[in-house]
Amino acid sequence: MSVPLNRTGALPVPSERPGRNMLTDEERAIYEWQMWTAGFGERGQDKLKAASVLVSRVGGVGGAAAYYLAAAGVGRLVLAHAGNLRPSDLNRQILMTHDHLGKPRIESAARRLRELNPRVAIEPVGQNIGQQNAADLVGSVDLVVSAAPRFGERLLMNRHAVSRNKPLVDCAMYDLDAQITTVIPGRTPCLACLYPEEPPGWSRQFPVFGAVAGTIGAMGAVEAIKLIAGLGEPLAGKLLVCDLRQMAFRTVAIQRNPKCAVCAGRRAG
Amino acid sequence: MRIHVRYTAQVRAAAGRNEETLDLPQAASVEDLLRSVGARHGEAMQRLVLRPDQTPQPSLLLFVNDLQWRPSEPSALSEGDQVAIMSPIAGG
Repeated sequence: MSVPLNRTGALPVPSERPGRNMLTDEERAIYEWQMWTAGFGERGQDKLKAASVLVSRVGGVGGAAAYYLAAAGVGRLVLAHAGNLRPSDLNRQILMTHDHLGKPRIESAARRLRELNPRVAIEPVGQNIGQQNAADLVGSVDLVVSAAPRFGERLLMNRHAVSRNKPLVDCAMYDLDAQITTVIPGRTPCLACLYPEEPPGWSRQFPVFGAVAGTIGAMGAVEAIKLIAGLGEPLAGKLLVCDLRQMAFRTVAIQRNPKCAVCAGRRAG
Repeated sequence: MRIHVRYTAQVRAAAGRNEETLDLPQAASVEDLLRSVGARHGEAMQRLVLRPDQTPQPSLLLFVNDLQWRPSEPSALSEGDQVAIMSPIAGG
C-alpha cells in the first residue's frame, strides 16, 4: 500500500498507517542485531516491515541495494529489470548466477532475494521502467531506488516520484566514481533540476567493477532504510561524490532549479 | 589568475588527470574556463562540456568553491577559485 509523506518529508510512522503488521518472534530474532542500532529499535523494524520499495533496475547498483533491503526486512520489494542474463553481467550483478545465463535476469534476482529472506514480498517485473509502466510502478510503493543505466529511465521515474510525492534515492556510478542523492519532492532538487535534459555524452556501456557498483548500491540501501525509519540525516539537497580511486568522499550542496520542468513551484506535500 | 580545476568521471577520462591548475585572464568566467578546458583537452572534452554553440552543456554539474553553479547565474571567477567539473553519470 502506498502512503504519502508526512509533514516533515519522511515516510509516516506505522502507527499513522493502515494495516500495521507487528513483528513476529521469528522476525525479532532475525533482526535483533540491527534493532540494537541507536534510534532504530523495534519501532524502526516495524516501519521497514510496513514499507514498500521499487528498485529499478537490479543490476550492479540496484541488485546490491535490493539485496540489503531484503536482508534488512523491507516488507515489499518491487523489482523492475528486463532482458536475459549475459556473461558480461556476471562481474557485477550479484543477484545473477551462472546457471541462469540466457534466462530472464528478473527470475534470477527474485529467486536470490527469496532465498535470502523469504519473509519479504518480492514482486518481479520483467520490464524496464518506461512510459507504459512508470506511473503504476512508482505509484505502488513508498519509496524508489533509482539505479537504471540510462538517464531516460531515471528521469522518468523522477517525474513520477515528484508527481506522486514519493522520495527517490538516486545512485549512480562510472568507472571508480560514484554518487548518490535523495530527492524529497518539493523540498530538494529533483533529478531534472540536475539534468534538465538527457546528457548527450552518456553511453549505456560503461567501465564498472562490481565492488564499485555494489558500494553505491549498498549506500542507496542505507539511505532508503534511513528514510523509512526516520534514522539520521538523508542526503536531501546534498550530493555525495565518491572517488574510489583516491578513496575521497565529498558532500556538496545542490540547488533546486527555479525553472525546472518537473518540480518548479512545487512545495513539500 | 590561477583556477584549480577538479575533474570526475568522463571528464576525468577526457582530461587524463584528476585535477590541474589553469592560468586564465583576469575576469575570466566559468564559460571561459570551460572553453579553455575544451581547447586544452581536445574534441572528447569539448563534447562533454560545451554545446556546439560553445555554451555550457546544461546537464554538466559545476561547483565553484563547493557551491553549485548554473548557467543563469553570474559567472565571474576569482583568483584561487576551486572549480569541480562533473560529467553526469548513470551507471547502474
